[in-house]
Amino acid sequence: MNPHEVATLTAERWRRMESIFHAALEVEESARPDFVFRSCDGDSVLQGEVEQLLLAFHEAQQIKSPPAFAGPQRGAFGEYRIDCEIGAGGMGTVYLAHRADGQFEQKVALKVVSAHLRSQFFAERFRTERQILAQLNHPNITRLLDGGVSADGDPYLVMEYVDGRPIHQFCDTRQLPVADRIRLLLPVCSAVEYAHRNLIVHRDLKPGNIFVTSEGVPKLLDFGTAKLLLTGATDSATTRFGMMTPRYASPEQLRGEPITTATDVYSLGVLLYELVTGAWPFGDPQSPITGLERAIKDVEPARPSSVITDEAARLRSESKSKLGRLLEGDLSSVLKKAIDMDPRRRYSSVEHFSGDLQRYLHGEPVLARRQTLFYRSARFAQRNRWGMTAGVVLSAVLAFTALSALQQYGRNQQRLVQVRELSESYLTDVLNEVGKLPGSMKARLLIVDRARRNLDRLLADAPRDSDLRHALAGAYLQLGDIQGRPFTVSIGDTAGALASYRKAEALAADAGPRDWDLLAILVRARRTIAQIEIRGNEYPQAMALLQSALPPARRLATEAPREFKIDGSPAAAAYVETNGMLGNAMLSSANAEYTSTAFERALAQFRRTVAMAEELQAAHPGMAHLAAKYSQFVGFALEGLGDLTGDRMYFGESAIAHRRTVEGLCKTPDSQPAPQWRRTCGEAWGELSWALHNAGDGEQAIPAAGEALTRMEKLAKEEPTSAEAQQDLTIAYMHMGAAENAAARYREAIGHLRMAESRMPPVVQIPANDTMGAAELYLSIYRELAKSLEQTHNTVGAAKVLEEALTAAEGRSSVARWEIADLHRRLGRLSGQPTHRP
Amino acid sequence: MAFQELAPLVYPHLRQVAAAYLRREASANTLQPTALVNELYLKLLQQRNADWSDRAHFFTFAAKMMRRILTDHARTAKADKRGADLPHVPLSDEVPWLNVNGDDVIDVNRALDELEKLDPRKVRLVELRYFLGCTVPEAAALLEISTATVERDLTMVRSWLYAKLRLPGSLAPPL
Repeated sequence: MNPHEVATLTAERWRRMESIFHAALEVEESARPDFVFRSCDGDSVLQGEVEQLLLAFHEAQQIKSPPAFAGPQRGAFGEYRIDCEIGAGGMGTVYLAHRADGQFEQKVALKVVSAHLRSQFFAERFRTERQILAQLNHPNITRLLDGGVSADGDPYLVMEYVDGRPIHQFCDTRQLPVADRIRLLLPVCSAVEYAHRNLIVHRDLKPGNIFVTSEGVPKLLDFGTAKLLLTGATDSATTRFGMMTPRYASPEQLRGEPITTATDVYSLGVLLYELVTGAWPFGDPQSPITGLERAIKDVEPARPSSVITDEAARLRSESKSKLGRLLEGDLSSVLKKAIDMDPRRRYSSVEHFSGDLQRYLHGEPVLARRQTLFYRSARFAQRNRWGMTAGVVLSAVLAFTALSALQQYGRNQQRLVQVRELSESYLTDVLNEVGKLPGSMKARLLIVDRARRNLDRLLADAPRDSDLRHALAGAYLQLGDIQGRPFTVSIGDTAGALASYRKAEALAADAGPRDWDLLAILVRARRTIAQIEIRGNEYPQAMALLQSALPPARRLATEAPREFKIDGSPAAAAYVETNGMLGNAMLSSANAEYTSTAFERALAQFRRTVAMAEELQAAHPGMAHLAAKYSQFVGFALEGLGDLTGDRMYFGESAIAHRRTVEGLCKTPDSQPAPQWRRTCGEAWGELSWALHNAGDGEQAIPAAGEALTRMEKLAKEEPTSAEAQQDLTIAYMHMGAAENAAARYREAIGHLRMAESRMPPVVQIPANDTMGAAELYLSIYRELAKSLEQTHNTVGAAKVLEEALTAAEGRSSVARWEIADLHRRLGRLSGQPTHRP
Repeated sequence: MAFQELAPLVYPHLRQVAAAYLRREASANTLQPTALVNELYLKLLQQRNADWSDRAHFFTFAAKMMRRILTDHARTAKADKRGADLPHVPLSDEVPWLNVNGDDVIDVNRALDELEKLDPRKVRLVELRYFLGCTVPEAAALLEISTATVERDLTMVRSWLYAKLRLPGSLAPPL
């Protein structure tokens, strides 16, 4: 039987099993075995399986939930003795207790973290609650009496015991009408107002936290999640996790945004809504889905009159129709204003909220009503459209264009994406995946083009000063990256990328002094445009642009929050790197210009960069490698001067700079795990040996070249298919040969240089736009080889080699004119000599 | 987009979130994935990857992720030999015998993989209802089936899982 048949067979069996199982459950228990037997019609295996299922069903039903945890030891809390458990609170259990020393007859509520919840996190919250409660003194807030640490080391709080019930239960049991329920909330509002005046926001207002005594006095409990407004604005992840009931949480709480007193207004609003209607304003409270949606978009609360049931009306001592009428009009407006998604449109304080409630109770016009009319004005309606987080709008545009374009192509993505690094853009991944399909370039271009047009359309519509424009800056940046970010895989549309980057730059240019995200976009856009310009040899423009990127980068480095990152690097590092990029632009320009002023300028910039890196290193230990990295460039600039002037002193200085790089990057020889690090380190040794060889110090150059060679050999062996790794090894051989030349060990030099030569692709295969720098490498190898051959009296060989070099150099854009001229010169010099036999 | 493409984008975040959540062991009763999924969605939002035009798609995806996370959690706990110290936390009220902190999830995960070949809809239901915590009407809406079908399917698959995990000489594995 082939596997396919087995599969079908099993699927059929499964269906049969299922239908017999369900049918059997309908049958009376005693008749089941017989029923199963007959239904299986002789198939004993099937029968066995169905019986197993039925047994499982039966057994599973018997299992109850696991038992609750044993409470803490009695007698472990100072003079307090526990009587019984009265509830499980947000983060601890609450017990009824009394003082055992006979001094006071008082019943108290003792709140403690249960054993299985014991942790640093809760201990801190407990401390906070204690601090907060200690400050509060209000008739509707439970009084804190005492606190301490139990014999087991658990912190506990002793509070006034409130003999009552949660507010919603209290209202329902007595079937309180709407007006009375509102009246009951007023003291609660007063308590919350009081807390706010003491700069405390509760953050977890819910029916379970508001108890009402039998005399009808409401009391606010459980300030465990409260927060002092002074201590910083943003809610950290831990505090957000602490929120057990998202049901009453405001959208900004759900998003982890700064909490204000308006947050408590929201919670009270939801609470009131439930008290007067008996339903949650946003649908099914158990569903995780509506909870999420509330966080990101404006979920319309249901009209209060539309959610009431007969039962709800009964509990409010009203007929359903009367209740419905009661809930329309002003009360509806008040509720709506209290639970507005935008905290700025809510009641700004609990005082205003309770003020309107009192106005409602007295039949006076409420403030809420008036404002609703104002909202209907066209201008506001328009602003509202962009109410969503701009980031969502943008990803929506990009994702939507991608998805719809993909749908058009009828692609069905099945393959697993092996994404090495998490990319920021959804669109990038779509494109990557599409890119793997044959003949899909067209699809990718289409998607990107559509996305660009949609963005342009959005930009045209966007109001002048809106957040949307700023968010568009980010989106154009992303788009530019996809179109053609230098040194990355992209769709190769450099012109398109440039246009997008410029748009991003223009939009980000009006960033305020503290708009960190926007400033980061500005820096990134300027840097990337400069990179493209450098590639196109437009050095003055690139340098100017990089200069203009420095002030915002500096601001970010010195004033933005420490954790702030630009493009994945800390702001301080980004600032150093921007300086480094400027240096590189200057160096590339110097190489083209070929004057010592130009090189001096680059040198000065690199020295500045290194100094900056060293300075920032103290505050940012993770940045230690940057000083070492740019020290290398100091070396390059010095070498440029050395090449230009012929003065060996420069090479000596360059060697010092390179040695600094080596020391900074290669602290312990083989302990760096990542191949990139070993590569960088190998390169650094190689550059050091090159500088030393140019300085004429062969003896020191050789061990340095040896270090480079060892590393590059290893890497080349590990990555046999990587063209770069192989080329690195070739370069290492070349460096070794050069070092040996400098030390007059010509035989060995020839050996290594020939080795390098043999690893090179044939000259004819080098393309005109030689991006790998093969032509340059040939030149270096052959120059050295010519030297060694000359010194071993093989002039013919030397001349031949130089001619080969010329062939490699001519017509390749990567080779500078002066180098070709230099080759000619050497050749000329050689042919002036008498020929010797090899 | 298919699950496989989205997973690498979202998975690292979810893991972080879930790890913190599960360490808390805050609820003595059943696992409440609600807060977890809230976090998931918000993290996705912050990633600027949000706006899933198809809600059903997102939620079935989130449910799969949740299953993956809990399985990983169980595997890690097993490797760390912490199993004994952790309390019994049922995956859901309807499956109180299924302990999140233990081998059960690993075994269930494997069983669900087998079932996927035979009856993927039931697997989706388990993910949505027990791993993600959706209500029955929600699950029905997302999968475009009736609530009665949801209940039926869940009854069957619960029994099947129980049989596989707890009854000796259990059912013949499909394939």
